[in-house]
Amino acid sequence: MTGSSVSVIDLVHRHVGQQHPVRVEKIAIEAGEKVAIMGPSGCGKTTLLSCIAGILSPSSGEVQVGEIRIDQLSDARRRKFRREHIGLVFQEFELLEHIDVMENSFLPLWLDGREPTEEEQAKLIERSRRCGIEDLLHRKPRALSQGERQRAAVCRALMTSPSLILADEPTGSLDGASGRAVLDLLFEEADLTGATVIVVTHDSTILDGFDRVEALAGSAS
Amino acid sequence: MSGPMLRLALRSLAHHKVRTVVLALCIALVGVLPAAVDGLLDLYRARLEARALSTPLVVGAPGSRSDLLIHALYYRGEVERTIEMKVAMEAGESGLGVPIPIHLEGSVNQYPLVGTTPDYQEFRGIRLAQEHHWPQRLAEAALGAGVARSLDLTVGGTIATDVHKLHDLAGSYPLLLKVTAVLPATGTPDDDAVFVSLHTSWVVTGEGHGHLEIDPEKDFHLVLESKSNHVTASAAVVEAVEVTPENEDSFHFHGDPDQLPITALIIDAKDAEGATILRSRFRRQKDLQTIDSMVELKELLTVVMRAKAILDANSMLVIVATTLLLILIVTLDVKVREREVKTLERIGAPRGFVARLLFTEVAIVVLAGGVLSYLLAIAAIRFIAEGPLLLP
Repeated sequence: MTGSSVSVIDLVHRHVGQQHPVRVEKIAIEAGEKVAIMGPSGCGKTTLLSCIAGILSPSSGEVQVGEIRIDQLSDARRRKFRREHIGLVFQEFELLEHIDVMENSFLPLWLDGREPTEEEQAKLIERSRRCGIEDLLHRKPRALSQGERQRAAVCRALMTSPSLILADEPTGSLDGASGRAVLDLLFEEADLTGATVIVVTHDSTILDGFDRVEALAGSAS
Repeated sequence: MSGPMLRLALRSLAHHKVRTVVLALCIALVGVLPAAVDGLLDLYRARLEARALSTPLVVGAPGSRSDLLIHALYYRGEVERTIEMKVAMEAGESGLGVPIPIHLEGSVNQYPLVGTTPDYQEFRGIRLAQEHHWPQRLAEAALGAGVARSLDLTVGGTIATDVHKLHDLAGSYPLLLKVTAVLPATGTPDDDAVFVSLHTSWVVTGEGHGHLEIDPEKDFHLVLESKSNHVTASAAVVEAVEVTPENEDSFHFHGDPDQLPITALIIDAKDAEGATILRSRFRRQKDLQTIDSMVELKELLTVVMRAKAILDANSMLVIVATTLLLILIVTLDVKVREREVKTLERIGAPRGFVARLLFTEVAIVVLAGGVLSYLLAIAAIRFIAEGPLLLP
């Protein structure tokens, strides 16, 4: 598995009821790169990430992941592309409370209507060992600490061995050491698979290990 | 519906246990009444029809036809007037069928006391255990299976008849009955009746009695009037309440035996032709009425079905109201689970996945409620079916 390149050109996204649209002139990320996207609050970091993931459809502009123009795909195909090629990590972890860590990790496969293969199960157990949550696989999220939850969320994001990992403030809810551990884990997995990593953050103390930083100006004007 | 979706739905329902159980219970309770009523009506209709089929021809005094049917076949309620025993005798003399008189006016522990002849046993095909025998002598009784179980009585036991005329100045006493048979359970009204000979039932209702011999010379304080061949005694004469070898001969009936009352007459016709001839003869007599049990029963059931239609309409309204409430709850549930829904969408849930997931959850709850409703209805039907027929 190799990473996907990402290209964003002249992106404009106008939220419903928002006066000033988010504008991103140009971002180009090579396959396998680890890039941090920084910028002041409200500059559109999360909107950019959502457009790259295909969660939001831009009002205009181009968003390309590998050879695919995400902005030209239908909603159904964007969802499928997201399930198969993109791993997402959120600030608030967003684990389902009524299923355990292992089932949360299988969620991207379940959404595809299939059960994990034996190989995928073995990979999850191996990955959970590296994440230090091997013994927590059958616990519900509410029984985990914040750091453990985020590591469980990373396990879920990596379940489909994605070519692109997008993380939105993954350390925002964690203390310094826990946050660093989660980033190290993401980088370690990316090194193993060659996946591209894009992390949105406003925390300049976690920039070690990134290949480069893209700064978004306060473009919502 | 895929396996993973079913698993997700089950996990969600298990996580919200209280909500799930309350919803399933609501659905079960809404469904249990119509299901139980339907089941019970089917059961009773089958039982009533079986009884009517096996007792096609009934004769009684003019009056309510349905009262006569219920009285003669199911031993419930009273008839307005009695007929005379000679009607049964004439039917027997015709050779066209076997008359089975029914005299039902007394009771034992609130169970109907049915006076009849031994022909009843053969008519109903009742097989008795070896040491049991159908009551033929005075104060002998055969208990229905339900009565025996309820009163914990068996052959050799005794039980007193109920007293209905506490303020009767002529005196009214319970009669002690000796159990000579317990009938096998049949699921018919026979299970909840006590059978005695006609003479026993006449004694119970005061048509006959037994007491000590009165000597007008010695017992002058008990004598109201003394003629050459007839002595009228006061109610102070103690009537026998138990038939013993010593007093059995003292039991006697006043008046013409042909005129002793019966409340109904079942005819076990020899064949269809015999039934037709007898029916025709009885119809010519103004002081009698003849009923075809199945025809009367169907008319009775038509009335019951009309009442059930109202209940069905009410049940339908409750089901519609519950469905609307269920839709409201699901709609509110989507709001409460907004975060979960958002997560599924962001991870890449296919279009309509969340709707299908919610539908699956609702379907499981409705199915569970339906199954619970069915089981509760079955339990209710079994519980009620083991009791007496719910007739007035």
